[in-house]
Amino acid sequence: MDNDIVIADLGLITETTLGQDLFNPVHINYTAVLDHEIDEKLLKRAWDRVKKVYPVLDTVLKLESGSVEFYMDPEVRAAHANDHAYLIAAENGNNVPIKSKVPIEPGCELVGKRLISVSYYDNSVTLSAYHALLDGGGLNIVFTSMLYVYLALYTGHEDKEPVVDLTEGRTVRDYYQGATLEYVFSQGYTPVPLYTLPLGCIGFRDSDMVRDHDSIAAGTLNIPVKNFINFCKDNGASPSSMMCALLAKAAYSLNPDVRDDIVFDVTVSVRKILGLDNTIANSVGLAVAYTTYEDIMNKSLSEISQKIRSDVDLQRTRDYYLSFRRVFCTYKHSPMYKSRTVTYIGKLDVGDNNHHIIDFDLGTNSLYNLFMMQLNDKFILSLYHGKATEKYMNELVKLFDEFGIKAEVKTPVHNIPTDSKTPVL
Amino acid sequence: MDNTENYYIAYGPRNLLWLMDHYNDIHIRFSAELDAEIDGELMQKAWEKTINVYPCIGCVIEMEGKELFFYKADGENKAIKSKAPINPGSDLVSNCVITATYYGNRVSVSAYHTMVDGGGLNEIFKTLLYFYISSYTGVYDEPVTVQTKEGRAPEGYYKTVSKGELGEFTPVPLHTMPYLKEYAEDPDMAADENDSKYFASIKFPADAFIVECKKIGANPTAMLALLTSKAFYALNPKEQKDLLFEITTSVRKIFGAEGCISNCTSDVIAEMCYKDIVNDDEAELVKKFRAEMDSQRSDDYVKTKRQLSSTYELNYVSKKITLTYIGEIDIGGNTKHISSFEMATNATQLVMLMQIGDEFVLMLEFGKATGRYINKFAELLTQMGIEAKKVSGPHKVIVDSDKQIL
Repeated sequence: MDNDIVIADLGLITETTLGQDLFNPVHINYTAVLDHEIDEKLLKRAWDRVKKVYPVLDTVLKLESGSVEFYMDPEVRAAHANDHAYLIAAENGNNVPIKSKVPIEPGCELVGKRLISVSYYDNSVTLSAYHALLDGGGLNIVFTSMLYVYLALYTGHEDKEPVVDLTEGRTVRDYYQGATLEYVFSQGYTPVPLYTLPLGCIGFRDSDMVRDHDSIAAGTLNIPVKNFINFCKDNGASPSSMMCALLAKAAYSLNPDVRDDIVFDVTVSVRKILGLDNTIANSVGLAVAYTTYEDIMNKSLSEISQKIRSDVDLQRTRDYYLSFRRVFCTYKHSPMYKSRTVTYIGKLDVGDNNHHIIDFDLGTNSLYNLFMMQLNDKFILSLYHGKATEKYMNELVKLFDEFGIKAEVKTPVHNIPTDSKTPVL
Repeated sequence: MDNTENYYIAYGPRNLLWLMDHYNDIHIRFSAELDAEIDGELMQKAWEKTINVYPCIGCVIEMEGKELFFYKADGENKAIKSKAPINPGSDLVSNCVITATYYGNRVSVSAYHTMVDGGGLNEIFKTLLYFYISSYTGVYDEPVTVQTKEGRAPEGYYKTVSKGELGEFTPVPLHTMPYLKEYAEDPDMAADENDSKYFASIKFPADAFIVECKKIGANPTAMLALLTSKAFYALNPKEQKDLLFEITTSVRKIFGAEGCISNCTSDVIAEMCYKDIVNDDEAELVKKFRAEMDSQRSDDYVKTKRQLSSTYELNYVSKKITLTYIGEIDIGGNTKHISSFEMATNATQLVMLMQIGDEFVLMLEFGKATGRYINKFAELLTQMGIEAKKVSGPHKVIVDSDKQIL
């Protein structure tokens, strides 16, 4: 690969898990609902500005040895297992916001094969991307930047100290260094032992935590931020450890005969841990934690959530992360457990104009996940539990109520629309 | 299932080995050729006595929930006269998972690897050989050097480390490999187009081999790695990548399971560098190899890895050749009646070493490349002044049979 044309190296094709992106019916997407109909011209200007701040967004995918088709053959793929995926400057096409009710598939012709797309309709604007390009945290940085610029143009108000970095002309490294294996192996560290679950603790999933045909079911709950944060503080919990504890409670009451332990993967952003605070590239890790039937029945919520929190915290150090990545370069990474994932994305906050954002939603192709995002005074919980989604939502509402937290079903269980290559009007 | 009467011992959580055993058509197998044709009646009695020493041989394994248990079998587990070894778990042996087969001068014992490792199978094999040969020759040792005690409690000889009785220990970091390091491989070390595996063996005097080991500070395993590397680079003259070895080690001592026949192994990895082989500094090479191995053999290391393996399945990413120094078959005065030994598995990148009396038998399962490598090993040993004789092969490894084949 000619280094002159490479804008960023995504790492080995295998580690980018590009295969999932290429065939994914729903790419990770964030939607904001504003208090007015989207102004197409302003959105276009805002998106252009963001692309100048993050030129990597205006690139296209290039695989080391050729086209995607080249890698379709299993033998070829095996022989090229260590090829890289790159981002290179786009030679043609254009990536402008598309008016469409459903998200536009990133990587398609309509957006000039860029791995990120913007779509809008009425009051909503959606940003959708390949996971190989950025993770949920990175998508949030770009989304926040776009909304900040858009709302500044729309209202004529700019913050004195914007929450987003709109510096143009940065080098790619300044904002796009993912936690690739190459990066991991370039870092000095002190090896540490890895966290283990107790013997025989392999978790369980509900038998109806499956898809109905190919549909991706999700539902959304809103809970008041103040209420929930105080509740977490009173219990010495973090929001994600508390959600693990509550999900566990829900799981055992929905499965009264199950005595197996329950296992959670908690998504950990390694931006701070690795000192890559500004990066929009992939930098997530997973921390594993568990609780047991006995604990849920006999212990307080604070004991349960604190144990989960302290187990997760053990796995949130720089040395731990680097040790983990290295061990699973020597051994194949194949967990023995069946887990559910809890992902606390963070906060959607564009500053002074944030009150113009009245709602947030996310779309993704998930089955065992709970996502949390804070918007203004609400936590928005998106639950992806397949056919079990609805009963878990109801159970969570009951549990929140039990603990004095008023949860409302924002969006009842529904199927996530699949990405479209053409505008849907 | 209400079978409490026949309950024998709890094994522990079901595991992947157990699943593989179900589908594997060549189970771990020890075979010996004796200096006379096997007497079927005496073999039958010897096998019965062996089962009395290790009653789990007469047991079947049942899965209940996620746990495995031994129960006494409903029927008999007889030694079967057959050209092809009897498949463990088959109806012919009442579904018992450790079986004995004989034909002509040969006797074999096959087992589910979940149940026993090479060391454990060796204990069973020695007991059977002692009972059989002593009854055949009328020569009994006093004291006997193999286990012949009947009526022991199952816990006395069967302890599964998968139960998680790790005791107190300090978790340590795991040994990891360099980034994207690719190791050498010989594509001919693979099964043939019919998925047949191949075997060949040579033998040589044990004392001469040990003398050569001592000269360069090697233990037999390090010497095996050195010989394998030399053979590999001689047969693949263009190859310059390093070679990675996985070494099977017994961890009976660490788990207080000495004398147990249960699966008590732990793997370690160590590499041989191409440039060191070329530079021919054998003492240095062996020192590095042993140091790398030793870094993974402490009590804490083995227990850490064992504990981690209940959360993550630990399979190496890199290509490797496995080295297994099984031990020794010494059944006392009758050892001389054992004229040859073979261990078989379904592997294609495996080097095995076994001592029989005052000789070592070096066995290869290198797939299609087995013949070329066994000749090279013999040549290398001869160059070292160790007289190596061909014993067997290369030949296809016979697959287990559900039926008696006469």
